[in-house]
Amino acid sequence: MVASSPRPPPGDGERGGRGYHAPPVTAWRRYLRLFAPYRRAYALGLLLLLLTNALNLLVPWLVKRGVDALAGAPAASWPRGAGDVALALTGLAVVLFVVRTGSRVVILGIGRALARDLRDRLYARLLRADPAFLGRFPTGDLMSRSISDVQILQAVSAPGVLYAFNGLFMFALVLPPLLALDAELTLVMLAPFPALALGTAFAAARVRRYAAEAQEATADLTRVAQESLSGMEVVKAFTLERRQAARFLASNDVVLDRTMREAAARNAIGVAATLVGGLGTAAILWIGGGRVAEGRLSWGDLALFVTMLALVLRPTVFLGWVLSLAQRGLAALDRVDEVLDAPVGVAPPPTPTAPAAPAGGPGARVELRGLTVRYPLQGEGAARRPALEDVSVVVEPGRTLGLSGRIGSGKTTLLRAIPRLVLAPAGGALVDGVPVEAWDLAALRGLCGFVPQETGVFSATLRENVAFGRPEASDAEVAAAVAAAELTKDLDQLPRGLETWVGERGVTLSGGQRQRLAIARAVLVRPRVLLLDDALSMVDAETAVAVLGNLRRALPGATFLVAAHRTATLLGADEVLVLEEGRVVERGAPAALLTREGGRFHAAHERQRLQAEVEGP
Amino acid sequence: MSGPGPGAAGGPEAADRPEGGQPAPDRAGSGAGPPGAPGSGAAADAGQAGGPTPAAAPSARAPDAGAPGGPPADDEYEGRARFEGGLLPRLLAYVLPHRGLLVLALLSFPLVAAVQLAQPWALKHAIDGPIRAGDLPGIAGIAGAFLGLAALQAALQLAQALVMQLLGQRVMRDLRTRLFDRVLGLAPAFFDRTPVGKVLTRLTGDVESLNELLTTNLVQVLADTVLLAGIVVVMLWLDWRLALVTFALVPLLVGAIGWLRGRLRELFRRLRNRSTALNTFLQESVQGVTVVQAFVQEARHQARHDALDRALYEEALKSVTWSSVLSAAVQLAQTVTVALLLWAALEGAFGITASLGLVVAFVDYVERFYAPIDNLSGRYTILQTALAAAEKIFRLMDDPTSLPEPAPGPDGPRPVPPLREGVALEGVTFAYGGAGPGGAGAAGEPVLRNVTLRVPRGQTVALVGATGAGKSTVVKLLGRFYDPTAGAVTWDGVDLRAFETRALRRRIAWVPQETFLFAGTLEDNVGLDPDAVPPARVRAAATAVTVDRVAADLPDGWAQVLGERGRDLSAGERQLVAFARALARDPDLLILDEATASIDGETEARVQEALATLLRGRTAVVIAHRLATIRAADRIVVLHKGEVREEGTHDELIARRGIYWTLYRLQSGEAGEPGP
Repeated sequence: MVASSPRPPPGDGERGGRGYHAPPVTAWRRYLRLFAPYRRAYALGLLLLLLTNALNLLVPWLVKRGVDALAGAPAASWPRGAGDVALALTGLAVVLFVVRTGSRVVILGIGRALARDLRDRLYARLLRADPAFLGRFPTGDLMSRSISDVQILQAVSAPGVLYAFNGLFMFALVLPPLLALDAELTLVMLAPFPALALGTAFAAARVRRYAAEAQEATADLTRVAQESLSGMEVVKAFTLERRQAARFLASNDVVLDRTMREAAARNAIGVAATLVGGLGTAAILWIGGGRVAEGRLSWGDLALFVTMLALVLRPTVFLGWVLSLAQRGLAALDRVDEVLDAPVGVAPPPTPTAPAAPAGGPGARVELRGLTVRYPLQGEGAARRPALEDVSVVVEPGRTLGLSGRIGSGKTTLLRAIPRLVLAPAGGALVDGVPVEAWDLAALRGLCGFVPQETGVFSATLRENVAFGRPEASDAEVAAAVAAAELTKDLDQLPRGLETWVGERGVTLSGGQRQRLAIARAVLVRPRVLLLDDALSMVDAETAVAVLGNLRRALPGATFLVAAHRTATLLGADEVLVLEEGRVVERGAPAALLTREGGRFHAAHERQRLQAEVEGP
Repeated sequence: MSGPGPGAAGGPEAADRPEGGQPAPDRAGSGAGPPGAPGSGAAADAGQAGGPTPAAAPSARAPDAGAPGGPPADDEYEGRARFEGGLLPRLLAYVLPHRGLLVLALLSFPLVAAVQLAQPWALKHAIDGPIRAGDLPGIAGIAGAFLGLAALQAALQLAQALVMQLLGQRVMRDLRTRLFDRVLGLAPAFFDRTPVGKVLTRLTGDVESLNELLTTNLVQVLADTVLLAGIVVVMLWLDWRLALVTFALVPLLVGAIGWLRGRLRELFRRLRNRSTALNTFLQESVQGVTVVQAFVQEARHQARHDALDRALYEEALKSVTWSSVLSAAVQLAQTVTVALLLWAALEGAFGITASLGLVVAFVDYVERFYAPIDNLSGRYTILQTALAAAEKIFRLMDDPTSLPEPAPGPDGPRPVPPLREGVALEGVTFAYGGAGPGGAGAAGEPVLRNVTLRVPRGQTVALVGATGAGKSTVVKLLGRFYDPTAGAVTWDGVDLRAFETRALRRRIAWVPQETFLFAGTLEDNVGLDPDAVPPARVRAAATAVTVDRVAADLPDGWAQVLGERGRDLSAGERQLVAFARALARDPDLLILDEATASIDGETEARVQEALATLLRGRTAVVIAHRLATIRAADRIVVLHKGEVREEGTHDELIARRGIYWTLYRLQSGEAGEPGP
């Protein structure tokens, strides 16, 4: 959405855009490391490029032959006649077509391959993300690194390398014959070229800077518009329409100004190239023309100079562009490496311990021993209280533990500690008597069915979403899971039932439907421990109770840990822990807790009962 | 052979639009593409550096394509404008106010083309004239003239580009401002059915696409056409036979370019879809990574990602291949044309007798000839996108959703008199999305049913009821955000529909539940509208409700910048700011939706005191949540399911043991933990 209008992350366009600074020598080594895996393809591509450039230079040489012939001074060797020259030129054009296409396809293909490989690696790292990682790289940031930064590196590795070598080859091939013909004229003609390259690099940096400023201004404009739209009621109530319109116009003017600057910087490059080209041609006419008149240069030589000038002009501009791009690429490389090198929090144990005595029956025994969880902080110091502090509880196989407490009281952290979705100290949580960190990670998570409050729906059919954990599940099993989650009735309202495409770009499910989908998903993997993290909050009270009953029947003997804000959901539990600020402040059987006047569970329950009464029919 | 052709100015833009149509949304990312890059081939790749905006890519465009319920269709996001009559004239209406710039720009085209074309001609003269004659001063003169021409070309090109850019930017600014004014005038009913994001897209993205058309593309198309025509004319004039030989390959090449372009467009469209698919998958994975881990699906997800990535890569290779072919083909045609030219000149075919200088000049013209042909063929899609954007913009501009204002004239809007008796709802029924004024489409369930409610001048009426009882609707009707479906809302007995809405609202002050802070200083946020409220009154009002203490606590005091990018205030401080806003207006009618957010004890006391100050002797309708506020009201009205169910003072209602009594117990006694 344009509304969010992410500002370019620091280190990307903006910082690099203040001006052009030559990258340090060590920087080039980082690029070499990045490009190393593709060195064979590069070798082939650059060879073809060299060939392209060499053959390209034959074109003016052949034209010179033609011109010499026309001037009445045909060459001594082949091709000399008109037909020969034309034939040679045509043949050369065809060969050039093939070689040029080949060089581009090979080198530009490398860029695409490099981008693909980087994306694959970034994704592999993402799949091992833990809360610390996700806290450090929010969704938008991670997306921008995987998309924009990778694209910049793709640009450096393919068109960047292509243009850089194209320029270098051109000069390597053009300079010697020209110098041999007339060193003085060559040097005069090329004198402004280094300035053109550096000027382009500088201007490209300026363009980027102004473009970033223009984007920033556009973001401001969007903010004013968004502010007016989301605060529309205030705007209308206080008749602020004119004021907001004036602010919008002011931002609009800033956009105009910055865009004009950007356009000026952009066009300056073209202007410089035109001027340098004009200078070069004038020098050729003046000096070269004089030499021809004196008979020291041939007509063909003069034409050759003119042609060569055109040949090296654009590559020079491109060289400047590559310099600026390479500088920007380093920032992108930093940002990509930051993700790839981020420390892995939850790692599988080197030698997993199988549970000594696998619990008989389908349920697992879950035990917490003084579990304390602290989230890593971002620069805040260690003063923050732990998310969970000294929680001890035993849940025997087949029993249900209820967790009550307000948002941020630690319910989610407790549930997540069991399948190791958060990093917890060793020995704090045990499943079947074995500390979770000693379990084989996949086996541990495989026996847990985790249902988060906000669940991800993936762009796929509803069936694929339900069978997420067991794609091979039969239709009957899927149908049973859907029924247990009380989702069957909803299917009738969807255009294609289970085969309905859901998620982004598909049918949008309601919050309650998403939650029940997540429950069906968990039932289908037949977990030995079911972890419900306020997973029925958006489902109405009656359905929620029905779902819980279904779950008990569908998963006989499984151990349930149910966190819920709604107290009615917890009345069927064997024990309830009331959490506050990460600590257990009340515990007991729900019936006992309800009789405790003034207790927290009792108060919450009464409050919710009255609420239902007032809002009820 | 001297300055690069117009391609140099057009190059970076060409690179910004890597896929031949979609304007790059992220302009900072695009930076400078390779300047003067040929409009295809590697330039397309370089442009990728500034491709789609991250994260926004999958969601920015409306996913309205694809069969309902089925997997998303592959071909979406392609804007197709209908060339409906009226679109272009309407656009032109925005250009005409800047006709000076337009004339300047139009004049510059032939000038730039002429200067460019003069250079090969000067070269020919140098060779055939002074150089052949060995006339050294003449050579110097021509060299100087040549340099002058190059400088002139550079200056003219720069001026032309800037003039066009300025024209485009001004038109966009006007269009945007006009559209924004229009949007501000739309009734709240419009925003009930239109997401804010969609309106923002019209104001930013769509206007931007139009800008593309007006600046870069219009310049380029015009410049290329003029240049091409100029080249053809000059070549024919110099030697029509040689010129015809030169043109021999053109039909073939135009056909080939057209075919390749079509193929590339299709390839780029598929590439974009693959890229969107991958980015969507990535975004979902980032958001659902915990689920992936919990269900041990890492391997399967990595495999799916890599498969999507590979599919993208393969599509990319295809487009790289074909765009390389395209750019190489242009060069092929160019070289073969030169071969043909030399052959014809040397053989004297078709009776051609070309001078040396003429041939050299022609070789140069050939080089300038093909770039505009290639450029022109790439512009069509961009035109389509821009027109589609224009259509959407004008559709929003034509939206009729606004509250009808009484016609000006003798029985036109009445002045809104100071409130003397009071305001009232008389038998009001209201449904959102109704067919009434400002609403469109089918009416929903009524949220108010036959509500009659009187607020005498100087009294405070508290509205009480559960969520969804209709309290907010009552206050919205009082501020005429909507008109009732049946019944009337009156001001001293006069139907609100007889007044000009803005004049009416100036007599009312509104304290919403959530205080909306604008980006700006604390003082701006209290005053809101310096035209309506003089600064002295702002300070006085602020002091009366202790906002001066809020200012004292802020590092920059009154000048503290608040809002999205500024410092945030606590819930209590925000309330106080909202009170000050209302008090500063000294309203005839105060509408107050009390905050439910919990406020710390010390501030709470201040808020309560400030509220008392605000309500003293004022006509007020309060949606009350706090017991103290309810009890302080002159009268309590209990709404339930859109109807007035109980009415009276606190003690009367408690004695009745009805809805109010239940609400009261909920509010007072057991308002314990845990709970939101």
